[in-house]
Amino acid sequence: MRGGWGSIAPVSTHPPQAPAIEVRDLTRAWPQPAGPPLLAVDGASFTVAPGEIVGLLGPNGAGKTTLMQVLATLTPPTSGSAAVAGFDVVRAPGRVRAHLGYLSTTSGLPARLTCREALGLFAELHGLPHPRAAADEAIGRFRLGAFADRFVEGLSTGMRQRLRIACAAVHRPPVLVLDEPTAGLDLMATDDLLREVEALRDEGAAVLYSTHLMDEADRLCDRIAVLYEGRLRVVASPTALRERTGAPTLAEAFRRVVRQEPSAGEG
Amino acid sequence: MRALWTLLRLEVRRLSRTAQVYTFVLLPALLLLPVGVFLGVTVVSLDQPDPVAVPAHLPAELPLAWALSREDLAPRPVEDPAAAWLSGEVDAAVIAVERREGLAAGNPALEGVDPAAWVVRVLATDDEAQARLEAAVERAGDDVLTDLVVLAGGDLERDLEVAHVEVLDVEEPPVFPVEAGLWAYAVFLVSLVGFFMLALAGVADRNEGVTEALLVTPARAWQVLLARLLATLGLQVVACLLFVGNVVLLLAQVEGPHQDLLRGPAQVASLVTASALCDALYLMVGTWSPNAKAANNLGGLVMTGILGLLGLGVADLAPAWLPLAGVAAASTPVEHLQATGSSALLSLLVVAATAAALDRRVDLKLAAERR
Repeated sequence: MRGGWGSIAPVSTHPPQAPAIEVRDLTRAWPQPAGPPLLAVDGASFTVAPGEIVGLLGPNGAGKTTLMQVLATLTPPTSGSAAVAGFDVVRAPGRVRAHLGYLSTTSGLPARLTCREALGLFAELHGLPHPRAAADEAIGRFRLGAFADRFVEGLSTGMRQRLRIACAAVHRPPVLVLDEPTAGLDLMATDDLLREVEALRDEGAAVLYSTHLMDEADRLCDRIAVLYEGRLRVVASPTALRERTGAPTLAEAFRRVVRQEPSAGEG
Repeated sequence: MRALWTLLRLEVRRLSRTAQVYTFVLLPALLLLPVGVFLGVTVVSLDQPDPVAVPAHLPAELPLAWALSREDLAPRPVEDPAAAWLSGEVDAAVIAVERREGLAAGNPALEGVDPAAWVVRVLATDDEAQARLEAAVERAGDDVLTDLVVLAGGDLERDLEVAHVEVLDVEEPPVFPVEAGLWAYAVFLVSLVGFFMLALAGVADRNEGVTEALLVTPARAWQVLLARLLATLGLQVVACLLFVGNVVLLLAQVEGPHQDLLRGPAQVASLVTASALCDALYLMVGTWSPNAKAANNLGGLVMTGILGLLGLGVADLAPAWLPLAGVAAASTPVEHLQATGSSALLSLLVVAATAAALDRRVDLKLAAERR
């Protein structure tokens, strides 16, 4: 079932700039109580350039979150390598974290801090020389001024998510890894958040962006990486993916890639 | 260090904004303060021990000093007990036999006293004081009575009956007597509260993803844990001081050897390190428990262990170097230092092991999700 997409390169061509994220033959295996280890990520290779948003798509259990957690140094790779901003996740995890903004569906913020305090906390932890100024700057940049002095626990889901992105980006990292940042958000909040991500991209950040929403990926991402059962099936621009699969929409293209269905237009 | 300082401030800020800190830690400790004053004024002050002048060298004579304190008689070391007694400074006096002859010339109360005959003449102002003093003399036993004559006084005209004193086998009294158990109680009290706060805070942090968010910054796992430990320990020290303040207020109104209980930084150090060890254990509970229910169960086991160790210490069935038990078992400064060292060392080991395991814990959690 695996590796049938002969006409679509499993790994994209190198982006013109030096990669901000570089993943090479990355494997992460989880030991199982019985039987062989589960390969959550199986030999993935791809790069993300500065100023580029790469969408990481895949069905539930495909390995997206595990891959992102490896990049965030939360778990080490079983084999292969991964580098963020030129720093290896195993050999220099501290430097990786210093150059990374990470947001996942499971990460959160201290409930009894105000937005301003939370931003200041992360600015301090990232060693910024003027954390208060950085927090104020982030409040302006992410339009958090209306509730800057409100406790995190009192924020709406959309506001909280915007704050979480602001905290992840308060130190202006060159690399952002965002795992389903719009999960649970309404349409307006999603639009706001996507604009924030685009702004970060425009400022030069490399963004690895995981989502289940195809429209969102189509609108936001410069390239799409499809992960299925731990293996990277394809990395291509949304347009190229549609063209190569002959699908009218990205959602349909995704289905065809996942199901390994060569289209009439292939080749 | 900067990250640790930042995280420490975060933890202090969070604790200061947690209602349970006030309702379960600071408020009870503060409420004990007026209770302590009330007890001190209305209860203890009504039963203050009668001062008994004793020779300045008496503190070395522990059997008699201990026996006097047990009878609620407060020994007051003076150079010349007889002079103090005659001047009315004290109601009773213990006079060394070698002073007897010289004193007897000007003191009709001493006429006829013959300690070699094992008969003690006890003079007292009332029957109760007489009985207490006789009991103290009996407790003191042979070793002291061969050297001392005990007189209690006020009414010199009242020639009370001669009491035969039996020789008792008096054991060596502890330097810090029964009331030292208050320290162990203080440790247990504040640690019990610390358990709920630490264990549940650790679980909540992980459920809410705060720990994960901190771990993807340059801060290290041990810094996150150590900051939490230090912040909670600081809170416990404050609660301990408030609690000890009550004990001070109580004992300050009691003359005599009780005041010795609050002396010694070694004892305070053993108390603080025992609290730190409790904190570290609860930190481990909070880090490893997947949810609040598991934290309660595991924390209950830990709490039982702590209680058991304290019980061993109070019952004097454990050596002073045994962590936690030592804080209650220790009776000398050296033993308190032993208890301090063992508790501090074990605290550091627990924190280090928990920090080292935190990354592994993330892995385990992710692995569980993968299954």
